[in-house]
Amino acid sequence: MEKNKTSLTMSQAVKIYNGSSLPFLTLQFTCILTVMYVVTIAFFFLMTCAERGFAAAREELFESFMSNMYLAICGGFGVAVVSVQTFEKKLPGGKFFRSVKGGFDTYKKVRTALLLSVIIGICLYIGIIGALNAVVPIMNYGAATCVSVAVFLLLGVGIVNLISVIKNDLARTVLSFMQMFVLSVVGVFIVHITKGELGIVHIIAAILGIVLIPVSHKLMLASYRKRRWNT
Amino acid sequence: MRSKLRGRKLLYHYCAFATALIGANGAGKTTLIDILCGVTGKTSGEAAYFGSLTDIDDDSLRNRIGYCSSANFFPMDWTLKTIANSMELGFDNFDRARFAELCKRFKLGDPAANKQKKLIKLSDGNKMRTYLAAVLARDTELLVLDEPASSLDPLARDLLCDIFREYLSERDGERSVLFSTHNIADMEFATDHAIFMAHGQVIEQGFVEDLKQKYVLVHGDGMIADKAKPLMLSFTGNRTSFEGIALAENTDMLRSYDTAVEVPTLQQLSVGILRKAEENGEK
Repeated sequence: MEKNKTSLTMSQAVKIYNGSSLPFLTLQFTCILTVMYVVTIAFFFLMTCAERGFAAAREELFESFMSNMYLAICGGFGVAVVSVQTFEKKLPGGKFFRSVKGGFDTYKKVRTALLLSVIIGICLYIGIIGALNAVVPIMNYGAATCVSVAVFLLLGVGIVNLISVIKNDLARTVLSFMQMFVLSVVGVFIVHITKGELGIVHIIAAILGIVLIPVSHKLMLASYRKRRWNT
Repeated sequence: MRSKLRGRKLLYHYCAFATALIGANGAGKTTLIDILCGVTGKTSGEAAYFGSLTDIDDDSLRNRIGYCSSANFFPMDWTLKTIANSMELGFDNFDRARFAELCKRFKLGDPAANKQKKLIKLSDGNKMRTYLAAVLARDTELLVLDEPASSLDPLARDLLCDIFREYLSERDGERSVLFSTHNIADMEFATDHAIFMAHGQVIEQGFVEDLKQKYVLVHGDGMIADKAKPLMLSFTGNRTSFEGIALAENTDMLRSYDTAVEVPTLQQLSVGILRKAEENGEK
């Protein structure tokens, strides 16, 4: 008997759950983060410029690690927002999602697609800001910061998956946001401490992230099916 | 089944009929429906569908059942267009044209229109109409609806009864409807068979016409209440009058006490049966 295996692609599964396709979702995620970063930085720069002039604004924003920090926080916030989405039965759409073709298999595809979307989205976001920094320097140790933040955000994705096995919604959400904030800030500070050098810490974090993401994703799905899917 | 539901076996094998699941709040109606539709997992017991199918995770079975819950069935930021896109992928038997036709019938607008309202901006009644249009646009053999009439106005309830009748007659006896309801009076026209639930158990079930022959509605003067009460299943009253449900086999005896005995409506029957169950539960 055919059980729980559907011919749905990941993009189709995402369309069932979100009404939009996977590429659109990834693009949307990247755009939101990029616009959030650019608009905020531009706003602070213009405000400081109006108050204390161009040189002071440039020093305060770009040479003080503030823009680096904001790059990390923005990314961390984005990862946490997408990762805490669990499509609970009690939430709008929860019962519909449990009744569609494939059942949990479709949910699994959606979560995997969202994970890919977050990873690609984060890389694109950091890449765009990195490219922007190459044209108009807006960050201190720009290239190193971009790599460092990307590595720590990806490690954060893995840890958020692990956190999502926590059953208490509030604790899970708070912890997810807190750890994303801490990790992204660590990513910026390490570059500050090493004066723009990427080192062993980044290699370890990258390896940990690469190993942790698939493992924690599987753990998260197994735990969700057992404890939350149809209880 | 989940721990909330216990006891008797529920045999529901009445094809071509609409069955109402009736019970007080917390009786286990939604839990039963959720289990039947694979939304909630069962911890014990067995559910068999269409004769021998038992695995609700099987897509071929899911496709034959049209399920809809009473509140927030779809995400609130969805529009008719999003619903159609999602349903089309989520089920093999969703018909876009039929959905558009049902939306028109329910006065919801055109799902293909460019500008559409999100569900969150619709009234509860229109949200329910949207859910119903979506589930009815699928070519299913069994409709399982959790309180479909709860937020509908009387006209829409009437339309829902008509739609049930059309649904049942379209495939010439191959389809069935199972729905839970508290609006028994409004849905009586659409109900052929009734299942009464209390405290997670099925306490009574049967065809409405059979139940109306099994039970009678008794009412009379308060002076004779003491004599009639022992023969009645449920009883409410004061010094001046009383009313309740009794078994039809006691009709002659009750008439001899000068009481009025009538055929109950489904609403009166439900109140009597559920009141009796509540009294038994309290004991």
